[in-house]
This record gives sequence, C-alpha cells and structure tokens, in this order.
Amino acid sequence: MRRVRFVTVVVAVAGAALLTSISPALGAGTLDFDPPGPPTLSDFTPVTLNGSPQLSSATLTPFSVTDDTGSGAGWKLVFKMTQLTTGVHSLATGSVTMPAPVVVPASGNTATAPIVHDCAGSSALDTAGGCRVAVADPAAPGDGLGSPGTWLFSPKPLVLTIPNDVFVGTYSSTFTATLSTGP
Amino acid sequence: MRRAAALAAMALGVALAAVPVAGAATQPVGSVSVTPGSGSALAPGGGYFLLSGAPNASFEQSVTVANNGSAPVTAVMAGVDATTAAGTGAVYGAPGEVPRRVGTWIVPDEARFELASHETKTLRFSVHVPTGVTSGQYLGGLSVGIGVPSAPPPPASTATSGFGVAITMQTQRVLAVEVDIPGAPFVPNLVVRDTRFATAGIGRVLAVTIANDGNGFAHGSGTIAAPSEQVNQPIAVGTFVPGTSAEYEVPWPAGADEEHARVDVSIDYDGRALRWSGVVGGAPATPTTEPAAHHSGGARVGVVVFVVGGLALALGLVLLVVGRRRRIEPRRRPRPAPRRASRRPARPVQRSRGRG
Repeated sequence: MRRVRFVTVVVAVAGAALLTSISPALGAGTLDFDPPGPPTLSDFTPVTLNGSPQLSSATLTPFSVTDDTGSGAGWKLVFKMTQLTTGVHSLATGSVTMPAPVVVPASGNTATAPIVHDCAGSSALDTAGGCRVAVADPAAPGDGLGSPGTWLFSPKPLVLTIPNDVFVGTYSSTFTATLSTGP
Repeated sequence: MRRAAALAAMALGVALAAVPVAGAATQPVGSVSVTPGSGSALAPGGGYFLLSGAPNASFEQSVTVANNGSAPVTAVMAGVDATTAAGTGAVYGAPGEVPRRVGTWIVPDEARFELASHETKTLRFSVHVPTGVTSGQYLGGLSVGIGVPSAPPPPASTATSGFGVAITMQTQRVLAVEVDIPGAPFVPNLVVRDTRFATAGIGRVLAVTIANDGNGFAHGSGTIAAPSEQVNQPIAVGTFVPGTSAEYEVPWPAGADEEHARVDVSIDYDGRALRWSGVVGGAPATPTTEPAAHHSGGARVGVVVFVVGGLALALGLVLLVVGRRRRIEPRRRPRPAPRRASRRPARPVQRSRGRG
C-alpha cells in the first residue's frame, strides 16, 4: 500500500514538473500588429505656396499591438520617415512631427502601459533614428513585465512644416513602422 | 547672380503653386509576426538572439515567420545594422538600407519569400563574426519587412505645377542579434563629438553629437543646458550602441546668442558620468567625459576598491584577533569578577579592554 502511494506521489510530481516545463511553450505567442494590420497613412492636406511657412497634415489610422510572446523582454515601436526629397531639392530633417499617441489597454489587460513619446525635435519622424512612438520597457517603473497583452493606439495627426522658401515639386519619402525586440 | 536666380526660381515656384497638389500615400498590405526558432541562443526571456563567441565564429539560428493577416504577403528578410538615435536608443536599419556593420554578419537563407494568409514558415539564418573583431558588445538585427518595393522608386519629377508629397509605407519586424565577444570587460564611454547650430523645421536647434567610444552598451539620462540662454533640455540615453553616435537636438530660442553661449552636457550612465562644457563649435572648456569624482570611476574601479577594502578589513580583523589572543592568554587565570555595565556606551577599544 505504501509502495503504491509512493509511486503515485512520484508520478504526480513528475507530471507536474513536465507540465511546468511545457506550459511556457504552449502559451508562447507572437508580437505583431493586430488585424487589420499596421496603421495606414492618409494623404497630406493640400497646400498652396504663398511665400510664407505653411503646415500640412495627415492622419494615421488607429491600430493595436499585441505581445503574447510571454518573454517579458518588452518591445519598441518606431516610426521613421526618410528625408523628404524631390531628388533635387530636400526639406530639412525634422520637418514632420507628431504628438504622442493615446494608448489604452484592451479589455482585461492590467499590465503597465508602454511609454509613448512626442515625435519632435531630434525625435521627429524624418530624422536619422525616427521616433520611438511607444516603448515597452521592463526596466521602466511599473510591473516590470514589458507591457504584454493588447494595446490600442489612437495616433495624433502628422504635421509637415513647409518653409517659405521651398521649391515646387513632389517630395517623396518612405514611412517605416518598426516593431522591434532587443536590448 | 546665383541669389537672383534662386529668387527668380522661388518666385516662379510660388506662381506655379497656385494649384495645390495633394500628397499621396501608398499603403502596406499587412505585417507578419517573427519569433525566434526553437534551439536558438536567446537572451534571458527569449525576446532576441544573444550569441557569444570568438572572432571567426559562426552561428546557425532560425526564426518562425507567420502571416496573421487575411491577405498573402511578400516578405523581405535581411540583416540590418543597429545604430543609436537620440531619445530612441538602439534603432535598426530599414528594409532596403545597405548594412555596413553587424548587419553584414547576418545572412538569411532566403532573402525574399511569400506567405499565404495564416501561413507559417521557419527559416534559417547564419551569423558570421569576422576575424579581427575586438572584445565588446555588438548589435545588429534580423529584419523581416513587408511592403518593401522590389526596386527603388524613380526620383520624383520636379516639373510639377505645385508642392506635393508622396509617401511609401512599409512595416518591419526586427529581432535584435547581440553578439558578445568576450575578453576585456564591457565598458561604455560616452564623449561629446561635436556641437553645432542647425535649422530644423522653421526653427534653430543646438545639435550635440555624442558617441559611445567604449565597448559596452550605455544606459542613462542627463541634460543639455545653456544657462545664459535659459536652455535646459533633459535627455534620455537608452541602449547606446558601442561604436555609434547620436545627434541630440535642443530647441534654441529665437535671437539667443549662438557665438558665446556656454553649453553644458551632463549625462550619468552605468556608474560613469559625462561632463562637458564649452562654446558651440569650439573646444571644450573642460575635459570631455571620464568618470566624475563622485562616481567612483566605473565598474572596474569600483571592483578594485571593493576588493582592496575587503582585504584591508580582513587583515585588520585578523590582526585584531591575534592581538586580543596575545593579551588574553596571560590574564585568564587571575580573571577579575564581572563589573556592572556602565550606562555610558563604551568605545570599542574600552570594551575590548574590559573583557580582557
């Protein structure tokens, strides 16, 4: 009888240990933009050059990011635009700014929210490093989990400053939305 | 003459710009999730690749790429460099950018592939550490991009009747690839490389270029200030990659003195400190960087101080015990009767004598 109990306990402990080792793999998910996908950008509002500095704006659609990796490593969302250029003439870097987006947790998500940032000055969208729109840093104050779960973003308008001495032409740029994981 | 020509061109531009042209944006078709493959060498938590090896080492790793969207996508996979951006910390090259540093070490088996809706693929890539690489922390990334054009767009024509903007959108997932080459300790070393004034948007900025000349990541925070001009800008240093530099731009008040204003840069990072003062564009008035007096001089100095202090303490204790034993032995036989404890706290030396 004692032997049966002993075997039962051993099997139960082994099973629990096996389950513990398997569970993280079963629960591991991904880090991605949720459907319908990453944000899309509207056209910039038209402007008529008149010799004075002017502003033009565009809007990004709301989007969401989900981190189901269970890594606790955090993540970083960076928006970056290449310098606006016609191929002959270019606008100064730092011409495209964007206030920090509003980010709220999805229903049931109680984790510490990622830190959002204004995209202006040396963090304007069209700078060498772009703008860290949101940083989920496990080392930041909070629960230390790196903002897992789903986060809903409501971006603010992008503002393009057009100087008074701009040359006419179509100014091209590539907008890259990067989700990264790293140190 | 050239100025007149430029003015004429601008006037013509203004005249031609009477008809506005709206900017157009092309949109990406989706995004993918990218996770490290099983058996890969990962950082604690498993969020990115962490490899350790000597120069000329090679590593085989894998990633799992999944298309969670409802439309098929064409993905472009490549190694990208990690650099440092002001306020951002480590940032990664965009799809299509040619890597020049660690990004060249990372070579995927497939550079471009298709993924059907809800399809998942596991793909391999290799990391080759070049010979001659010195000890330190190196950072690159494995990038999977969506919406990346197969060829660069032709330069836009300037023969338009107005001002327009054309934006191409793409998305990218990056998993960092950190390669640690052991040997010397990993120690960051931030220095001010350059200061200048520039125009950003329609305003003036003070641009301060800071570099990490060490061989380890730096993390910290500080300020760039010009007290005489009421400028005091907090700055954050998040994962400053060794061997890279970042330009921090500080808004400069209109009409403020650009020739004589003294600028102070102060950053505390990883037990070290950067202190720089000088006139913009000139030589620093005080030595650049190196550990501040109140910062104990970094990890290595701290360890040395700790070890020497510990040895001195141990030696002191040994000498104390030996000395006490020598004094105790002859007095043990005629042990005096215990005295009442004094209310006044005894000094260690007095207590030692009393016990004897």
